[in-house]
Amino acid sequence: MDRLRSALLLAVLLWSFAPLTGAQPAAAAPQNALAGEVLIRLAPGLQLSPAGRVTGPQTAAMGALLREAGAVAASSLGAGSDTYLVRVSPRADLGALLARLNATPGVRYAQPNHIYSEMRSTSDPILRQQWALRNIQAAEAWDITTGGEVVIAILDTGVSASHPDLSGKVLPGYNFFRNNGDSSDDNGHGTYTAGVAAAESDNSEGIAGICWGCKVLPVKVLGPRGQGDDASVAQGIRWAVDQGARILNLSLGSPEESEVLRDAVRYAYERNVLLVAASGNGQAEGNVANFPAAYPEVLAVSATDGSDVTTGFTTTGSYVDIAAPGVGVWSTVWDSQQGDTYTGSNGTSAAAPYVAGAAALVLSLRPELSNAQLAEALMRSADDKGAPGRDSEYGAGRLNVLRAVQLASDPNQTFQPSPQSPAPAPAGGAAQFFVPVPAPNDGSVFFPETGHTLRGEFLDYWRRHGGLLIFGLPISEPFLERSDDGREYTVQYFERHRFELHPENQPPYNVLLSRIGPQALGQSGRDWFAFPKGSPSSGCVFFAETGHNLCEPFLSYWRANGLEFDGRRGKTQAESLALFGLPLSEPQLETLSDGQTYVVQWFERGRFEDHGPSGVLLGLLSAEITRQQGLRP
Amino acid sequence: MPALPTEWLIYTNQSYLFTVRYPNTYVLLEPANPADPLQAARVFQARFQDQQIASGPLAAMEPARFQIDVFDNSSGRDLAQWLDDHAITGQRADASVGGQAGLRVTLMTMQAPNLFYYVARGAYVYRLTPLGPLGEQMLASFGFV
Repeated sequence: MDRLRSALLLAVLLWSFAPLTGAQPAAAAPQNALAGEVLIRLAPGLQLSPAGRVTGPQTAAMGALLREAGAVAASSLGAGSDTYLVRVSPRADLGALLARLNATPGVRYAQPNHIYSEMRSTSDPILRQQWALRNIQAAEAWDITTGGEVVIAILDTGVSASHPDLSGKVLPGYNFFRNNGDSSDDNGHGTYTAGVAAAESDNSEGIAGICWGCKVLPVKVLGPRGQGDDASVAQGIRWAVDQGARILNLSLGSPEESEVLRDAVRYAYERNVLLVAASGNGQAEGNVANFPAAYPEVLAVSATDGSDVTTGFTTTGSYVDIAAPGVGVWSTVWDSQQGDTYTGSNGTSAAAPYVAGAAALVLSLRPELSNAQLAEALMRSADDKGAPGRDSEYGAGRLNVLRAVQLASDPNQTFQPSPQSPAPAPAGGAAQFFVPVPAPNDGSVFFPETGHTLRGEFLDYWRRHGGLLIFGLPISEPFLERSDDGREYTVQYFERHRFELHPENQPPYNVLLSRIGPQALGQSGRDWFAFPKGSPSSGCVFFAETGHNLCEPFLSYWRANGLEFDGRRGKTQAESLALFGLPLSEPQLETLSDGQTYVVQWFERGRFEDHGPSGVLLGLLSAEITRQQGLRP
Repeated sequence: MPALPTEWLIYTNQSYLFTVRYPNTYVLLEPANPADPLQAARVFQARFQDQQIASGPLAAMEPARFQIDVFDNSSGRDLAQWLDDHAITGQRADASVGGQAGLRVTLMTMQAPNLFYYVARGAYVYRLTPLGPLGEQMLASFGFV
């Protein structure tokens, strides 16, 4: 065990000191960024001098790293800002430098200094009439991404593959109305919704779609006059999922609930597919809920007008998740008289594909996001309209494509599902999140020893409260897991702990540590209540709450470590208690998984092990638990 | 936000013999909607629009908050037959329109409007298209004179 731990430590240290120049950079070079410049946000109490020297406690590692990178100047981004533009050697390997800075204590984050240019405009002649693009800040978003080849399935009346603004983007589809492979459009509605989401753009033709790079999968579930049924829509959903579409747009609906449709929606949701649906146009008709939009697995979209007011027709209700423009929306269309042409139209039919297109842009930047996280990214970045917070007219607010892609391109952002959305249950269960992943090039910290990444609030917490020695290496990616209280949380497993994200709490309690001690004991059939109790002893601290002593050498270790509450040197009892919790046993002899016998003591959040000359070490409880659960080899 | 009505007004059409109440925040617009497949059969149209929307920059694109179309049925066809003749599909359900038996027609696609009420009377077929939040009240107030 000692050997393994030492090997892991050595591997981390070796990685930490990867050269800043050389043939094998630790991370990919940042794209579209200025050479010789990085932006660094420092932890409280640290500063950078104009000469690029860092000052403050425990800055030796950062100082050495900056010197190695040839830092010659630093300037803060405004008076009092803790973020600095740092000029380093133009020959510095920025990818490696950023990866190492992001793993260095005192650095909240480090990122490239991206190049911006004039806001992207397009040559599409109808662009001027596409007022909605201004409201949702699409053009600004296209400066960040115009989208990769994400597949958006259009479940509708078919799509005209011959339309000049869609040509080359339409994949072979299926016709569930006629049960054949002819997915062409005999109504116009499907070509319309496809164009809003993904029309070819900047091609001197017609309109601009939201996701320029996306592919359209036509799934004809409605007939020539817009009619369809549960069977065709349900089959279409399942087929689109099986074809690999990550996003489904359903600008259709019915006030009737349907078990068949619900099953199909669940089929898609459980396979990590985002379903986007029109909330309905039934405000004049009692404002009754519309399906599939009203199913909790579906991102329901209401419609807004040019003033960002929900339209008079849009169906509203607690199931509405987000709003998007739905009046006078220009798009591609197929018409029985004119063939492939363009039209302006109205409805939540128009609003939903704006959201589907925006989701595809986000997914282009963050393909690892789950469907729930994708929905959360769109809702969190929406412009709050109407009543403050979530409301039944706008849901989380009116879509803002720029803010959505900004959120997605920020490596420090983490996501959890909205309370309205159930947790995904992907095929393979939680074990898939323990499978090593390739090194990302998004600025997050990658641990090659385990093949897992750390970013955002978990990274911040890991660094601030003990890092490798206390928590160990990450052994999973973040994912959603049902906790003891029955709710779903974003969690990540480390060798010694399990982090659980609680953004509703102020730091340091925005991340909660599991009571991993009792869990590990319980997994091996033991109950800490059954351990022999202790009594107050000289030189020890007695905890009456559990009836156990804390004595040397564990007492010194307990006192030397803890969460960081006050930024002061040393740990208070409260800080140590917050990290380890109360002792659950007296010191006792146990033979551990390496076959060696040690003096150990159990705590609520850990197991202290006396390794003699190597000192006190924390047991790798989380690693042991997840291995026993079969989540990892 | 659209203004709330302080008063309800009465619109009466002596040519086609119907009446409807509308809020004082709405205005009556000129006929429009040339894309309507029933354009050729139409003999009259009344479009009611929220006056704030009617004066806004997207007025021409905004669908009317309530619309009444009157179509020729001088051949005296049964309502369902008349709809079939004019290739009007969608889900049909019985509905009372102006105190008479009519049909409610809905489409699954969510372009606006996708909900219509039809009733046949005399030499005409009437189509009512409620779209705004006051649509239900206007629909209920519709009657024949």
